[in-house]
Amino acid sequence: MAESLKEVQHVCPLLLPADTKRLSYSGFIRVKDKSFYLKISLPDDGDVHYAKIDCDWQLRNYLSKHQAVLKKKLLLARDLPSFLIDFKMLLNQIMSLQAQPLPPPNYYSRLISEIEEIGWNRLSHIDTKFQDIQITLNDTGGRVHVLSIHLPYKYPIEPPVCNAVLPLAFQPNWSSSTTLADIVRQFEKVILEYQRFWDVLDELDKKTWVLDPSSPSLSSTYRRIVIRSHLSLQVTIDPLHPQLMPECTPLGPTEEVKVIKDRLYSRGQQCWNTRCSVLENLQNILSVNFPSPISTKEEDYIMECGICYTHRHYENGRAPDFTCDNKQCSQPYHVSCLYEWLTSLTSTRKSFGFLFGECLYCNEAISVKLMVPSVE
Amino acid sequence: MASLHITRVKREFREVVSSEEAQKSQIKIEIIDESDLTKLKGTVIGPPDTPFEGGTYILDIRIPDTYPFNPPKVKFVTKIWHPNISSVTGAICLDILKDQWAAAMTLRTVLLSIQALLQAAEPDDPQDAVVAKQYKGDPELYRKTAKHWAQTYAGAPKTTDDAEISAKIDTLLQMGITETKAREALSTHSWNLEAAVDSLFT
Repeated sequence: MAESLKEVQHVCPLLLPADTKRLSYSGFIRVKDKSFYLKISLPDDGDVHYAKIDCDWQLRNYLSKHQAVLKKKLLLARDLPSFLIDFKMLLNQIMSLQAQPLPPPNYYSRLISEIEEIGWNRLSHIDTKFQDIQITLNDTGGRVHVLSIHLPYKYPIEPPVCNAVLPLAFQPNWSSSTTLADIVRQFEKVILEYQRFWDVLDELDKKTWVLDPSSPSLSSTYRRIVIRSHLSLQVTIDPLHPQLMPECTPLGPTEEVKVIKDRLYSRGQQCWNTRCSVLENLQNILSVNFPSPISTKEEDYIMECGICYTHRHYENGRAPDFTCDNKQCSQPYHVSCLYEWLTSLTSTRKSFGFLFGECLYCNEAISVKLMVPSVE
Repeated sequence: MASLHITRVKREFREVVSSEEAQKSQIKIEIIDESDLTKLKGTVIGPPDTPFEGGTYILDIRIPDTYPFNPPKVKFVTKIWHPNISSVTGAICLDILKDQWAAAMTLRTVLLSIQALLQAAEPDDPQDAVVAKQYKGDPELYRKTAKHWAQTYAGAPKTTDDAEISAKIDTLLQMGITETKAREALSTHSWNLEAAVDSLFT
């Protein structure tokens, strides 16, 4: 207890114990050259997680919008001194955030005239600080796009930050004379260029069973499509050259994957016909017809992972992407589930970047690539 | 984000409820608290042709955060006389609850394995050394004791009424020993009254 008092004093020299049991402290906390009155009462067992905090009106004002964060910090705190350190840091952040000056009046007048140029009907959102705006546009294929623009306080000296759901980041050309309407025009041009790319993906979505991603956004460039049960093909389309042969990765039992790979390599480049659609080309090269959602049922291709017993992985939402090579078994797994299982076993061997173990159902030897923690 | 262990427990709960074994009321699983699915109550029925026949055995099941990569923690709540189950704590010695666990196993397979363990004990890998010794040395006495425990604690139908056993327990009761303690002492000492008394009063 004496130790903890010393530490409290170290963090807040003006915060003193108000009772002999040291369950209540009162005094001042100093942040950014300002002192605030503060009173902390701990419950009888001294558990900091349930501490009560009282403070003066100024501090209350700063904290009013951050109660949830404060509660979380309190629950995560190890002891009172460590909470006080956290608390000071939080207060520091809040104070520097609120200290930001408002932009000059001409910022607003310029913004209003620029929005007028775009047309108010296309403005779908603007925040209360007039800093974040969203413009909605429809493209020729009936897809809806939202362009989010964040304006810094120093706009138009500093460039706006644009964000949109596109396969590649949208980076408009900008100079101080560029208006928001110019940016919107650039955006319109960009989405026009992507039309063919989205058309290719739309065809795959409509005519094949797509395992991944479960609900594709306009930015995703790949589709994992069903060839037959336990065998699928991941197709990654180049957004700038959608009509060219995409990058293809077959997933399934090793033998069947090999057959698909052989066909892709031997016939891929020669037989690719840019006048046909990507789907037609793939069917041609692989000599398969992808099962169509019109004539087949989705249940036929929904596989459950043998470890988590679900179709969609609990974290990444992917469908099972590994199959046991034993033909009698063909148990599907999520690579990540299998990886986690193998790493939890002492009998698993690790060599050349692979983990070697056994199928949980048939004991057939299986191997998965060692995973590098992804940054996603 | 839903965590894996909870999603799996929900699924496995449904699996047990709809299973054939549950319909024949051989196994059962219950949720104790809807808001905490990591604590469950399991039930297995003593299999036929064993001293446990017709007994209802309650199990305490705890699901670790790392489930299914680590096995669930299961122990007997109902007292039982079995070489692989502690007669005091209810701890179970079963390979699949330890190093032979596989992530593909489920609560249903765990309950069925425990039921199978009641059918075929493994005295060479014991949890309760005293019971195991009795099982190997005097199988008849083991069956008698196990049956008595099943009738007393697990509500197995009383097919035999062992007056001798009751008389010995009564003797200890009159000495001020609790019934559970008396039964434990007598069972541990092959129903030798003197030995049991010695163990209780020294």
